[in-house]
Amino acid sequence: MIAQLLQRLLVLLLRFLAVWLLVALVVEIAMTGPRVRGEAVGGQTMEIVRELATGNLPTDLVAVVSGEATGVSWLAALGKSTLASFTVCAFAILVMLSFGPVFGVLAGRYRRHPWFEAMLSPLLAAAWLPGFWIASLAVWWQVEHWGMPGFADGEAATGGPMRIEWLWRTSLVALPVALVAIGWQVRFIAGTLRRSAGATHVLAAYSRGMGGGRLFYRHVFRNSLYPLIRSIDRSLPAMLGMQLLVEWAFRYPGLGTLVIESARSSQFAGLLSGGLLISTLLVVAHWVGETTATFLPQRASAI
Amino acid sequence: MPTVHQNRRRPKMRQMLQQLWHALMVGWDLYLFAFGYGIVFVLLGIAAISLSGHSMSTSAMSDGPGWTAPNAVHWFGTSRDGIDMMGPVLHAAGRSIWLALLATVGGSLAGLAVATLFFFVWRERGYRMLDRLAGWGAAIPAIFMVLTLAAGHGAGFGVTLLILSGLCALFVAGRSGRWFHELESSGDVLAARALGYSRRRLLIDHLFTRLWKHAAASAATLLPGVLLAEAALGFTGIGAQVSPAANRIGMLIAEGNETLFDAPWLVFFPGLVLWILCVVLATFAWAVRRTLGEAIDERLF
Amino acid sequence: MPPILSVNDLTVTYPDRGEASVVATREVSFHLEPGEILGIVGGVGSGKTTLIRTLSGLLPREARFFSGSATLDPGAEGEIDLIQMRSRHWRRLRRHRLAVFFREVISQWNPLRTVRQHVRETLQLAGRKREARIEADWMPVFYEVGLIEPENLLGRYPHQLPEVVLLRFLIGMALLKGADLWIADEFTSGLDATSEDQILRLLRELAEKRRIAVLLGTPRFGVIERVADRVAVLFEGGVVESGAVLDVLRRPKNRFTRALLDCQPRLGERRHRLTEIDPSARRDAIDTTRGVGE
Repeated sequence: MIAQLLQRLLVLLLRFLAVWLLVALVVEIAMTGPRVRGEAVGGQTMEIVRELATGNLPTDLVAVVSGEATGVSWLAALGKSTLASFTVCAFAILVMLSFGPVFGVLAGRYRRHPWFEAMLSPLLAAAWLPGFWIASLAVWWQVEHWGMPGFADGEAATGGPMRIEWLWRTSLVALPVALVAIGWQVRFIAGTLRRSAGATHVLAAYSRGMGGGRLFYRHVFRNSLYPLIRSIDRSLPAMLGMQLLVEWAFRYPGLGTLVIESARSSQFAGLLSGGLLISTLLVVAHWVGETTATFLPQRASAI
Repeated sequence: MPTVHQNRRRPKMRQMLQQLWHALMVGWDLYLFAFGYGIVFVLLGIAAISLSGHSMSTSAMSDGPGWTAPNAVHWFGTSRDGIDMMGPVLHAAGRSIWLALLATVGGSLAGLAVATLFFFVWRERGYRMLDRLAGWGAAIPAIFMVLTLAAGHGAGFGVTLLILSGLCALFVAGRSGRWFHELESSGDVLAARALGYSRRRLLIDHLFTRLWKHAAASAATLLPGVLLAEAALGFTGIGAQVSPAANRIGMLIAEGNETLFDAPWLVFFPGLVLWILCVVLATFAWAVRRTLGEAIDERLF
Repeated sequence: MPPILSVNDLTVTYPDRGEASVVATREVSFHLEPGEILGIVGGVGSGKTTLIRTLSGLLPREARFFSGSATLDPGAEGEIDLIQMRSRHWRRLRRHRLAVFFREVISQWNPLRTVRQHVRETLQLAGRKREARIEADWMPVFYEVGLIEPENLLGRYPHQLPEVVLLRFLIGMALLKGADLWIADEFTSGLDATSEDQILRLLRELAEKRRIAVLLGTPRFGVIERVADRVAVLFEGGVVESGAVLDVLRRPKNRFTRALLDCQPRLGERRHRLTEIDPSARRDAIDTTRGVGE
């Protein structure tokens, strides 16, 4: 078992190398290629978006990205924004896991009832919501109700005295991300269950007089547990990609703001470090999922 | 009678626990229902209570300096300059769709072309490499890749198109490598190879005749995702053109964000149109897959 | 002897996207007595599987009964109409009296559950809670179906056992729950010749000894010849010819049956090309099933 674990660690190391090289390659190509316009990206639009009504950009991040800061280091800014992004991501995953599997399993269970699909349809349609648009609407709704625009202050990330408020704000960034992820997850889980409900052994159990919940949970659900567990990390890249945009739309001081602001002002350091961090996070998540699956019963992986 | 036949008596506690577990298993969906819809109703209740306190604020929907709120004449409201928003929104949606469509079709063809190249040169090794490359591409979120590439190369419609289709090509190349691999080991292709077909004839007669269905279904499935990615790119202001300032739907939303609290309809309607488009395209993709016989009988997909 | 199953003029159709509907079985009639094995022979698309699925209540939802009846225990007091029956009653029937065998043996077993769990589940469903607990009671039945040291096999997972052993376990499970109507659809198709022969012998033996009625669908006359009492030949959903096995095999009345029998390979015979069924024989068969000929 230790040998197996060591082997997996080696694989992880190799993957890190491969993905880091890939990120570096992408950033290098982006930075060294011919420019259509010599100036910074986005032209006039950039100036407009900086002064959005949804709050100002986090001051220290802007200072770092634009190179105006003297006291703040890249490393500190990176650490702070990673922590903030990580919190949002954790919230989003928590919300996704508390809704997605429930409705996914129900959709698989009541696959023959058209009314249930009709009840689910808003949730399924959420898979196609533009996250940044929902973020904008949420901000508008917030200001209408408690007069606080945006999440621009540094306190949002560090916590400070008002922990409940910090929690509330972070979760509001996470909700648009989670909403979309729930849509995807429900579709995926329901699809997997429907597919495994068509297996002959399920029909055979049915022909022995089994039916209803017992047939579903004992033969269909339990048999598709393995692919379901393996697929939890699959939606992460899309989720994280969306989070970048939503964070920026909210002016949340996370990795998203850092990366997009760096992209908009063609900052090599911000792009590279942000990309490396994101890819590291994803590779680690994938590795954890894979390692967990290795320790599942062997016959489960034989399906 | 041999001892193996003897039934060992279970402790009573364990039996009771087992019975309890069976009871729980049978009533499982009831709990799921209660939990899932319970949370939804609680959230709806909270929203309703908080909404009832402050009905629609008057400051938000009042007419500002140059604009009017949505009414019977201007369904989508008007912009700062007093222009009816329906025209610009639909125009921007059209442009976004064209861009997404071009990127998807171009990217799919490019991906197929790459896989076809490997059909002649490296075969198995090439397919595996494509598959792995596409897999590792997923380790970097697509939106980050698009942002970085588009940002580094500066603004412009063409660059956006090129990069979106490049991303599409990456996905399709990985997939089509897998299709080629599957088809090459299928019975009729093996038989044709045994009959001495050349690679070129094999490709034209046996592979392409079946591959186009996969490719069309996959392109239809990709389209709404590409549309969303395109809108996201527009939202960050990358790939903007100077003369018509906001000609894509993401940019309209970004511009509307400036006046979010005074004229929320400038954000609401472009986003709504984009969402409806995506849902319609996803449904259309399902219909296409079903017509081509690619769907696995699931209505959810 | 009163029949256990009686089917009269059964017609089942599949709607084909709202326009023309596909007739899967066309006015099929037969009856089945306890202890009797009825073979249903037909090629692909002959309506064999639809017929079997109709009688085991496993038809897809879009299928429609057009006309006819299928009755269990006809004439008896508790006569059961299989066509009009509610799903609740179907479930009771499947738990106690009906045993269905599908095409591939291995795919009928849940890969994550042991053989013991399958057997216990079947007995629990049949309402035999006590027998489900006492494994010693199962053993005589498993010895009867020809299993060697079944107690050592019970803890295995399906993929660890050969198909013929799994099939013997399936037959044993059907015996344990006391099913008296067995419906099988090409259930020996995955086996080698020796195992198939053993299983068919076993089936013959059990049917006689336990008075079990068996409906056996197969595309091969060879299987029917070895095991069945009577045979019905199906073509395009309709019965071309039916009767005692020896009558039909030795003196086929219909040209289609004769052509089908000619297609069978025989020992010591050398053919330079495959035999084809004459188109006129097909037309003959269609006329017969639609009531034009004879």
